Amino acid sequence: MNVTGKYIYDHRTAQKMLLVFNICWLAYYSYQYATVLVNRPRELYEPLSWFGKLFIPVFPAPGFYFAVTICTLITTLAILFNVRYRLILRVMLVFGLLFINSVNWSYGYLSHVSHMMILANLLALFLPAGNNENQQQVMLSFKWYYAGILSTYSLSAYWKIREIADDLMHNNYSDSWLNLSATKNTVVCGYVWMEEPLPNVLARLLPFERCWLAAFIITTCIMLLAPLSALGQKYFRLMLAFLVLFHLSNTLLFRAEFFATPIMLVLFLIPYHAFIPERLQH
Amino acid sequence: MFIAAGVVLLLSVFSFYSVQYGWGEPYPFFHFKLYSRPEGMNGLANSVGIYVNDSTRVNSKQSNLYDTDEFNYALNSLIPGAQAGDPGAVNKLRLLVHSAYPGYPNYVIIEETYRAQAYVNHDYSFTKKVLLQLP
Repeated sequence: MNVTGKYIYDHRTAQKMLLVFNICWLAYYSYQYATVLVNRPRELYEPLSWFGKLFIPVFPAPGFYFAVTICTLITTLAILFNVRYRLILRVMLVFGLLFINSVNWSYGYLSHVSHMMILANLLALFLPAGNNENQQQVMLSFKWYYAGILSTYSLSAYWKIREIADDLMHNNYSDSWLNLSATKNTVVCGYVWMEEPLPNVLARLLPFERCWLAAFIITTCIMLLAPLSALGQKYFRLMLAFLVLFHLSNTLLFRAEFFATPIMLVLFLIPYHAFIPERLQH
Repeated sequence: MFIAAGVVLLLSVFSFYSVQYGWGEPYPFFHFKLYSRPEGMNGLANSVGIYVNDSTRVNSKQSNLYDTDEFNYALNSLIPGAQAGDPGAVNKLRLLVHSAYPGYPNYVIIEETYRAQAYVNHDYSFTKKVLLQLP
């Protein structure tokens, strides 16, 4: 197998791993529904997204919820085992994932948790199905696929830069991320919100204010350029490793907990061709 | 081929205008404003405590139905409406607090304000401000 073939093999295996991960995700949220959501007062349920308002205006009964979950599970397995009508199955899968996600985030706030995972499944619609196509074309589809996923990070960086520009124009420097105490205040807010004491490591590190400001600026610039990294395989893997570290440090720093996203990034990062024996790769 | 990234771009542009015109947001990734501004830049950090008889803090321990994040978001989304006297919000707030921490005679919602610099130095003293009394 040539180099491009190896990369394509990696990306295709990552797609299969993503589908396996979907099954774990479904299992987790089924457990969450059965043990937690059904016991909450029904009156507190209020959909916040257009999707929830349209399809799930009231709290879904267990029969309905689990019917959707089982359909989504069957759809995932069907895509995994290359059943025909892939396009329709993909649309059904995204619908199911959006459904389950909407139910979970209809209690006062719309969280960003699991959004990247739904996006990865949505954009997989546009990946070529078979292995018959020209190798370069398949590779190019994967590059655009990953560029699409990573563009969420550049949007997140874009809003930070825009707010900073806004602050500078209104001479509001003291409220912006460029203020030296910005990281410290945000970290403390995160810990107070989660009602946890500040770990000793952080208490020691936070006084290095210039380092935190530099780290913020570098991180924002890297995140803005994230989709470009998808064009080259080496930079792409470096970027994914950086983003995994970014999510882990955010969990420690701001108590912003994302589990599905870093796991998914790791699944995209693993060079499967190096681990799986060549005779099993076809 | 490039449809995947193109779809993101198109939906983002559409979301940008649809929010401006008040049609809501079809594509939730565009307004990805997580930490787009720093928090607590007045040097203060707030949390909301549920108290019994003004003295015992109820929501220091884990609830069976909500984790701290979920409970705080749900609580904060209802407090402004309840303070304005909206009966729907008051009822929901009552349901939320009773379902999360059942079995207390009364519930007082109190805003706790910490000083960021003191918190870093492990000084967890705070000032209290009563927001609401719930039956």
